Amino acid sequence: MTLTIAIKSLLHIELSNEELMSRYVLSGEAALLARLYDNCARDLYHFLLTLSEPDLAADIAQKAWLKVMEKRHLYHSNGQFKAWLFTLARNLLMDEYRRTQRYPVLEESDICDEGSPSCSDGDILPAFSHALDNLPFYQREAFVLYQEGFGVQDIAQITGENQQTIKSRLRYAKQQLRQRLGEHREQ
Amino acid sequence: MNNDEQLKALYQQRKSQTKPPHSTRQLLLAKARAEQVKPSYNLWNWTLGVSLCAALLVLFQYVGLFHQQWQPTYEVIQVHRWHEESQTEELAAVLAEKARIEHADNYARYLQGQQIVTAHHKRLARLVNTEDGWGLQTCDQELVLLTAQLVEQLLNSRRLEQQLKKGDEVEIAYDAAGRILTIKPASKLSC
Repeated sequence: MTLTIAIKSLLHIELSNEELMSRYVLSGEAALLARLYDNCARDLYHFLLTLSEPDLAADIAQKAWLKVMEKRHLYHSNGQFKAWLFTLARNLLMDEYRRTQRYPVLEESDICDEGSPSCSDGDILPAFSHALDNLPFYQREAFVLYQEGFGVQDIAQITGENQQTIKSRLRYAKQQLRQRLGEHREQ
Repeated sequence: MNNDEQLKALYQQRKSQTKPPHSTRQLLLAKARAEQVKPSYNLWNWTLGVSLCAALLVLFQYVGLFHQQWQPTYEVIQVHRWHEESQTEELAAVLAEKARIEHADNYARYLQGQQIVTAHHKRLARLVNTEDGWGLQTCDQELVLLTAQLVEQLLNSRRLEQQLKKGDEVEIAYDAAGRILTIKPASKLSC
């Protein structure tokens, strides 16, 4: 594994996140961490932003990356780096919710503000964004993770739920998003 | 475009509009670079660790050597116990027979010695002349012949009274080995 990474590195072949992380674990080289950050930071921040407010999302993202540095010796080279990163971040977010006793909204809010762009204009992206933000927390979480390329099994591991629950959440999330987008088109 | 693809496209579009805070990247890299300086410390720690190990090794060797020097030297003694040795019945019988014979020999020697000692105390005789020279006739009708050579030796060493003549009663003193020590006149023969 290490030899393969070394050869790829010498030949300037693009390394996967897992290979970058394996090298970073061994060397602690800042440049490797920078490459990992550039590859995954947006995905993570968007995931957190979808599940929380911008300030909290930025704070949790930063803590998650710091944890990657601190706990890098716990990273398993056979594991998917992005799944590990998202698990760290998700745990931090849930801890924060528990600590501040601000539990995520479990039920959907079907409120469409008067004058809100997503409700009034014909642009579909704000409508999608609004619909996503108004999904129940766990459905939203499952949907975002699914869109980030994780399979049902991965999502179950990240969230600590069973696969059937994840499937249900995904089904409901998609169903509701489609419904909202359909309603938006009809308007 | 089906619904799933549409959702995916919208999701990617939404994500592309977000940007993670630049401050996080800066902070993270600054911290990573600061940690990267540590290899020198690690090298120092590593060197320190190796030195400590070497010192410990030397100490152990020294202690081992010291301990070895003070260890008394023992000679190996092999202990055999009769009952622990495996022996055949034949061997046991042979050994028993040998012991019995040895015991019988010892006993015979003891009896012989006893006879000699007894004779030493008891033997009285009458001096007689024989064809070969002198003879001593004991009370139990035994005749002890004295060779001329022996008589001469006894006379030279003054163990034989010179005035003795035929018919004299004498007392013969033997040593423990049964050899004649002296022959001297006896006051009376009490057979």
